[in-house]
Amino acid sequence: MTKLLYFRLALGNLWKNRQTYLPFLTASTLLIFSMYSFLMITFNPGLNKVRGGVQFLTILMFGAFVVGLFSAIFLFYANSFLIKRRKREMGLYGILGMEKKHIARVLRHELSVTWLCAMLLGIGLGILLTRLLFLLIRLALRVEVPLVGTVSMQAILVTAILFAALYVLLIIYNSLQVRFTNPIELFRGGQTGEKEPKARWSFAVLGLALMGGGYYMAQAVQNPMAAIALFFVAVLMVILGTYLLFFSGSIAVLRLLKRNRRYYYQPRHFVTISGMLYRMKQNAAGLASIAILCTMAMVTIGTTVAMYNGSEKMLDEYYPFDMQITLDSPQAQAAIIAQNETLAEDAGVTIQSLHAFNAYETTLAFDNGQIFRADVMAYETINDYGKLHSVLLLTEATYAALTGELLALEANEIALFTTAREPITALEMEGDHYALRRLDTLPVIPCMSSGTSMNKTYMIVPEEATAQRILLLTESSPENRLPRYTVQWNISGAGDARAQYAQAVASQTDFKGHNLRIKDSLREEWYALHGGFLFIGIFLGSVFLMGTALIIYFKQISEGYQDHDRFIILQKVGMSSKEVRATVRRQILLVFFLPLLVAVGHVAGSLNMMVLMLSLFGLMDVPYIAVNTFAAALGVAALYWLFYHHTAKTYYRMVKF
Amino acid sequence: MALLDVRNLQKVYTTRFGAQKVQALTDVTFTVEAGEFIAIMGESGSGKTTLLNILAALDAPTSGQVLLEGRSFSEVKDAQKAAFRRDNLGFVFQDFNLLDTFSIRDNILLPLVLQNRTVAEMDRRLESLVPRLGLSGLECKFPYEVSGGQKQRTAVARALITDPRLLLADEPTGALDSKAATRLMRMFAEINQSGQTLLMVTHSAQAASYASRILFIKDGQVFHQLYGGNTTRDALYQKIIATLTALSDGGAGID
Repeated sequence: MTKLLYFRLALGNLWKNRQTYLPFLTASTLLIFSMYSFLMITFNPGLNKVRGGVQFLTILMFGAFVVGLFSAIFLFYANSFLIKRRKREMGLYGILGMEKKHIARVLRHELSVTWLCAMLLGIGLGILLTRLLFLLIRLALRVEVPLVGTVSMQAILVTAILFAALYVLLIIYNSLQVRFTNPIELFRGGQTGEKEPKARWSFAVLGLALMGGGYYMAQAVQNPMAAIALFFVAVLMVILGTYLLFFSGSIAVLRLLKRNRRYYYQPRHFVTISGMLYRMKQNAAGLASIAILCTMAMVTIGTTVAMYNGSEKMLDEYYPFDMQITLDSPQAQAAIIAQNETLAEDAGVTIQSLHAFNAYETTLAFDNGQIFRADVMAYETINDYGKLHSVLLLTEATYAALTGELLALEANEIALFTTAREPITALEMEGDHYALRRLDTLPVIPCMSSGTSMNKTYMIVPEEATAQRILLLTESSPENRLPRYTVQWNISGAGDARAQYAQAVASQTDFKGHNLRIKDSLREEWYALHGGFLFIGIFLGSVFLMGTALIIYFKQISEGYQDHDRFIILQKVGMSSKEVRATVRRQILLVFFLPLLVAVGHVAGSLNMMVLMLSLFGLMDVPYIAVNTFAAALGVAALYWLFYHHTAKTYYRMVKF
Repeated sequence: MALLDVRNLQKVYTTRFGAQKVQALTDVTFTVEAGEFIAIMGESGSGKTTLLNILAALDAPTSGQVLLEGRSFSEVKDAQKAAFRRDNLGFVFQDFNLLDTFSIRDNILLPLVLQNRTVAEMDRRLESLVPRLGLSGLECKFPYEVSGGQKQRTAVARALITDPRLLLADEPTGALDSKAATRLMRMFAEINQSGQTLLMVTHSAQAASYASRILFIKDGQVFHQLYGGNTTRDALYQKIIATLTALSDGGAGID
């Protein structure tokens, strides 16, 4: 009987506080929905059969992890806000004679009910939207996917356990909150005045140092492997720095403004500054979270869109020609060329810009103007990754035949074209000094047989002997010092003809197993991977955006409650409703622009790192990435403005007389 | 010319669908001369608060007029109401209505800030006002750090700092203990002696006995008036009690 009483009390409380609990329930539902969607795809048996499905799986796992982390942060933030709001109510129960454990029990019931509702709604939504989701993935992957849109018990179970665990933590937190406060304090709740926060300069300096350190790392890093390794460290430092700076820096700035009496005692600034200063402590957490989430949304969406839009660029980077094949003898090379003509004719495609050449391929390390073998352990470390080069060695004669360009190299001169960022200025081999001539472009790009994320470097040497001299330094086995015979060409023709031709080429024994690369088939694989990236990117971006919106909403509503009485007093004392609106707008504008500004700064700061990491996928065009990222940032900012506009209206309605 | 001229005020509240009409004020007429200290008394529901809200230009009467120095409230446009209130009227509320985000000093200065005064002038006015109200040394404290009486005196300082034509007070002693209430009323009397016109709504006969004139409101009308005149405060207090008793008897036996 009594048990039922507490339960009914809990239900009643939820209903009474629906204005704040409904957003909490909605947020929980959406988070559960996101988690379920990620897990359901992850556990789907059909995923393994998808091309690029394995890579996709890794990204999904990462996505699920991020959603989980974010859920934890958000639920704690929202819950602590809700509990703070209800201290008075809990105090009343205490004064009416309810024991603390009973209050805690009511709170426990409330959260359990919320959890159950959110689970049912979230999973229900997940199951319903499954088909739509799979359709989306199929479109993104551009291939028929054998994924099945079933109900995944495994995903439901994992989601349920995960969120149950989170809610148990919330229940524990709430019980502790009730235990460590006495009824009178609870009853006074939010009324007890909060001390104006002190500016902690040490925190501000630490925050600045952390943020500066993160930024420096992002700027100083020169190679993609180091970028990946340092990425999480840098991100962590910037996140921590952001929180610290918001906590202490904002207070310090506001106090400085307040100290300037001529500035402070103006109608426009008076209410805004004191109001912000008063609640800066709670404000800071919210603002910093908004800034971080906003940054994450911008970066995720920006990079994925850049990657997807840049797919063709990346493909071109890896595969400059439609077809390429690398063989080990000139006879095979000649045979291929002859055979290819018949195949093309049969399929009805035209061969264009066909090049046949021989060259050496090797991997080496440039260090201090000297060449070393790449497999020496020292160069496997992250910092030295930038010294590794995937090299194609051509003689001057071959280069001239290929491009029609005469370099007229001296006997101790080497021409060099490289994608490396670290400049190579000098070259010395066994005491002999070689002059380096940097080429800015290659008129015809000779294909390398392997695609790699290392620097790509093309070296044009005056004679065979120079090439052999380099190879002796870099390759231990003699067969690796033999020339490779490459044929590369483009084809033009109708889509069907191209497909037919590709199939014919791929099935020829002379072609098969000789490093044959057909761009059309590779493209499919490429989109399978990057379509997945896009999907995950957009999905994660949406989760981050959703988080931003929810935090803004919670912030505004909570402040609306606090400010309601304040603005009524101000109006009684003689502030016109116009002035109130101007003050509200000013306060909101500040709160709106501050995190957005920080987010854009973070995005700009992370750009170098993003570019390096994207270069692993072959996307090297920095302005292109920058434009895409900032376009995404602009989109996010526009959406952000919409949220804010909406919540600001709600806020104004709450505080107006 | 009277400072405040209240003529035939009537206020009818209508429920949302117009089904029921509640007459809060039937016909209220009185004048306030400059330098007077008026107390308005009446039972709950007699229309005191409605009257005060109308006098504060927070609410408009259904019919009738309020003139401040010959200028009718209805002439003031809605957009200028706030400025009009700020420049001409000062308010003291029962529950202080201080802003917890401001220090005592900033709470007092608030109306001046809204009036766009210079920092120098703010300082000048604050300096003369703070010691008069016994708030010296509290300027940098926040409302939650001071007592109820100090809060109410802060509110009085905030109301007086603009040199209003009329100071309006709504149950100013309602939330104070008797000691703090007495101190506040003495302060009101002092302020009145220095020339400030005051109009106060109150339940408390004790508080009303400091006034120079007391208006009793019943059923939306001015039912009776008492003049302080030459009587002592004690005698006035006895008269007020007698009147209140008579009022609750339905008005029989008033001389």
